[in-house]
Amino acid sequence: MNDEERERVVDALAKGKRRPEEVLRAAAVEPDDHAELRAMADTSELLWLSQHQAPPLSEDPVAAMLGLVPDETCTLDPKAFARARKSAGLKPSGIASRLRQKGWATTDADVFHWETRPTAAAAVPPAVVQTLAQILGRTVGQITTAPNVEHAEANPIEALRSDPGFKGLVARWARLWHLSLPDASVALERRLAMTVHRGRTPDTAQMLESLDALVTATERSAQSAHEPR
Amino acid sequence: MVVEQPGGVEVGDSPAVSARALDADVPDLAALYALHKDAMYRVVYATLRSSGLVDLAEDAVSAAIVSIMQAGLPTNIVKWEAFLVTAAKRKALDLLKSAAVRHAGSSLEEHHGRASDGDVAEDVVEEVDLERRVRLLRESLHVLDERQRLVAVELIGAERPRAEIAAELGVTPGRVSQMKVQVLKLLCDEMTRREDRR
Repeated sequence: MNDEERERVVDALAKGKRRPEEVLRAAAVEPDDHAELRAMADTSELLWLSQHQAPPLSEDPVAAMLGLVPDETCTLDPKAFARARKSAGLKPSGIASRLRQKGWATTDADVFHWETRPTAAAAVPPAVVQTLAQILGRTVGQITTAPNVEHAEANPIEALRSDPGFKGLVARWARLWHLSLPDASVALERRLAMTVHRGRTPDTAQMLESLDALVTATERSAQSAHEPR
Repeated sequence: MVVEQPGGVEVGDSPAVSARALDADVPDLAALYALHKDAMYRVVYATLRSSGLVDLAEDAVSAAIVSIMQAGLPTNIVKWEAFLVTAAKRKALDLLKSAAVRHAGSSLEEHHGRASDGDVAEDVVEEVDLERRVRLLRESLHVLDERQRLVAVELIGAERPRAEIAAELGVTPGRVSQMKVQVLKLLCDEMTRREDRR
């Protein structure tokens, strides 16, 4: 068996379109070579998988939906955050520790920079802002800068805005985050905008289902955070 | 109960850690996704590759996250990575089933040698191990020289056409095939050495 034949067998094994036994039998591979070719195919698949992973956060619609992408409609206000932290009697290390308990890889220095560097505060994603508000016993609106609704005009998700289902979700989101209805609408649209920007326009029903799941999960999270401990 | 925190630290029952505190420490789904999204995507890619449906990977991951949001995060999870990977794999298998139904007469088991839901729990240990093996592979790449690494990453990993790689290296396509086999052998050997040392 020459190298080109070995390559063909390894490729066929790695891609898995046929059962390995069939591939080896069809290529009349000697039994002594089976283990080596299978190992090479496993390695080939690992190489392929090593080049296939999640898209970067800035291009990941799931990340956007979950609030992992910084959003100018939900920007941490350094001064308001510092005041809320001190008022809650927590040190930066205490905030960092509680964020780590919630799964966020946050250092004490990160928290310090959020209070002292506006660029660092602006990079805090909405999902972290939301958890910070829960830790501090504040609303999101109390620790963020006022959103700029002018950006709503640039959002391409026009059809969604007139849907009654969307309006209901906006109302729930506004109650949850203590936002005005226009601000809440912008915030929800931003969560979906990434999908459209990437040329994948899900239908309105799909977008509403995703948003409903997001709003419901956030409501559930907020409710559990406010339950007496 | 032992809860694996996303950072890999395990918190066990102890007088210092009350059950109430553990409940309060259920991580944020967004944080979990940020930490394990590559593992989720990888298992979905591995599941969909044989059917040529890798373009649907994002749909599978998205559907998994939406279903988790709808059901709420459970409080009794030991390994969050396994939980997320399982959810993603289930959705990938659902997509395969839908594709199989569209191509009337073909069965998922015939094509992929596995049933759908029933095997997921058994597969999950293997799928989580996939991340460890990908890390092992990346650590092993140092045994390759620059030209061999091009073959490994661009030809095998990114599936660039063999003719392009041959032109870039200034060799014949046949020589690229020889290099590919050589690269795979070198990596197999290095990974085995590293596994044996552990």
